[in-house]
Amino acid sequence: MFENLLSGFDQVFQIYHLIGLLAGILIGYFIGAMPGLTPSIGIALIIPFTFTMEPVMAMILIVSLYMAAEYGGGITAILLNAPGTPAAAATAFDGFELTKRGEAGKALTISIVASAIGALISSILLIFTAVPMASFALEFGPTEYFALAIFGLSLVSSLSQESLLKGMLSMLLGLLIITIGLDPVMGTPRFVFSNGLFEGVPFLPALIGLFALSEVFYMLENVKEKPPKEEKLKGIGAPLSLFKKMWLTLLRAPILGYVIGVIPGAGTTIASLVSYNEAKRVSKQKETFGKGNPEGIAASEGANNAAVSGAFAPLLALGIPGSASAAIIIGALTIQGVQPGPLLFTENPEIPYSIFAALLVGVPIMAIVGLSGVRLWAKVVLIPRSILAVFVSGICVLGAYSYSNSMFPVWVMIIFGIFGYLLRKTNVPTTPMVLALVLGAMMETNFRRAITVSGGDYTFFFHRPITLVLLILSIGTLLLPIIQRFRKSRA
Amino acid sequence: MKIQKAEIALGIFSIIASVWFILSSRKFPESLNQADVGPAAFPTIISIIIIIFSVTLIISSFFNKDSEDKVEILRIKNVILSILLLLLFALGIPFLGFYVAAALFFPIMLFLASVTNWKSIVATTLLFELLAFGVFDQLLGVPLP
Repeated sequence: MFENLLSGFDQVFQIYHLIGLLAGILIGYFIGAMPGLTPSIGIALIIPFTFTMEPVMAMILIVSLYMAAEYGGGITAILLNAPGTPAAAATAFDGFELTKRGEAGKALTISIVASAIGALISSILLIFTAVPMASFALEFGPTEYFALAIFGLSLVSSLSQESLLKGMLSMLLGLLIITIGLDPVMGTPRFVFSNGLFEGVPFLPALIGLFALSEVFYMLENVKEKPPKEEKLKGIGAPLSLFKKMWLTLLRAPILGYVIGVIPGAGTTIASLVSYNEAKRVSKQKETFGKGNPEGIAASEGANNAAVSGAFAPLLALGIPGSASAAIIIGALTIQGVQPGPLLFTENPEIPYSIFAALLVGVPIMAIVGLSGVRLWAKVVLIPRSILAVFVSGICVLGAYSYSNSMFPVWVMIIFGIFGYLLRKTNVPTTPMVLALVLGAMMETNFRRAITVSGGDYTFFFHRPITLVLLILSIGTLLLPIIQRFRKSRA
Repeated sequence: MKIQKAEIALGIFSIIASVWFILSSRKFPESLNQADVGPAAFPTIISIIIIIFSVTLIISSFFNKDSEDKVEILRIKNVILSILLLLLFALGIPFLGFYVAAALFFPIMLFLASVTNWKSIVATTLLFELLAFGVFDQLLGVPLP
């Protein structure tokens, strides 16, 4: 293995490949920062340029783009409350709060450092565990996926800060919205009153509306409010002592992100939400989460970058695409005449080991690119609110349109923007709704598949160990914050 | 507006939406597989739970009459006008094209947001048009109408 890894490094350190790596990182950084353009769209856009490249170069370019795009998504989440990628939604919870306090530079620095640590740790994990982890992922059947979705939804109790009742209502409305579209089992159209809804409510435009457009309306209410004073950034942008304080989060987030990333279909968004919740659950300052706690950013960014490496385990070892991005990468490999799967490591070892090396070498480059951009990005918040609000509303429209090059997502974005604004005015948290939009389809589809497989036996869910563990964890995750709040109110 | 009124309005809206979902679900076909719960089950169950939670929210709002929390929308006219402008912008894109629609939307929206300096208005509009054309259209290949 080490011989192959060294040969992978040898490939990556060739000047032509290093230029490809840097280009991939810059393009990914840029695509990730544009609301509406997801990493998968970025990969799809770059593939035509790889047709004439040799396979290793093509993979280096794609892998570095994928990694940097996941980081780039956090930039606009922090600065404008407009997540560039769905996985950056959890970054916005605390990142945007820090920006409002005039600490955007600090938030951006935490984001890039956590992303780099996440990418580094998960790349090392990938090198040593790709094959066994991919086999673990194969253990996941419909019951496990259903339990995973339930576990994710159980985070609602810790994500509903003020009122659990309102948080639950927000989540349930999200679950109802996600039933719009074709029925996942029978293909029957459900609540489809427009042709665009056959594929369901598009997630990213909904997210841009709920977060960014609703924020525009808030900004327009307070146009006279002066922008925060220019932040004086020292060193890399945040003190090293801050990172020392949250070393456990910086370490935990990549491990959680990697494991979740390995599970096909779970993906970066679930990874960052679960990691965020875990950081909050173990923190002694739970109440500061969602109000500008740096650990919230580190947890989300560390996990979503680690999930990228995680997604490569089933992709390379089994040829199973765990996400839209992974599916496109498999397509790119096939175009190059390379078949991912168990034989890849013996027949074309240069491909997986070049990917491993590209992930490792790409981390410091990504960190340098990210850190050098902090001071520039931090100036965005100095723009007067009135101009910023209008500009962001335009970017929301552009971002939603680019989602599928049509006007339908723009309408969805506007409707969700107005809805999100009204919900926030009524103190209803929108995060549980995001949770439901991410996990709702996974829950319903896999519940129905499991019931069909078991022939209608509902006890089937309790016969599988991973399912049982996840369901027990879900009950704990749901009830623990409620019990803690109850105890606090009685004290 | 007092927060209780807003909560009651939210509760009523959620109940109406849920009832619509339940009634629409009744038209869905039964599953051909005996074991499968069918396409109507999930929306119906979720709607029923929403109704229960909404009723609870409405009742708790009645019991929470003394709360001083308010729903305040500052510059409500601005917010409503900006929503209308945004809708007009989206409606105008297919007919006028993205760039013309944006050139009309931006100055009015900026003026509404109290930006009166015409240089700032022109610069912001141009910057946005440049971003749309240079980055989205040319670099990323998004075919803007």
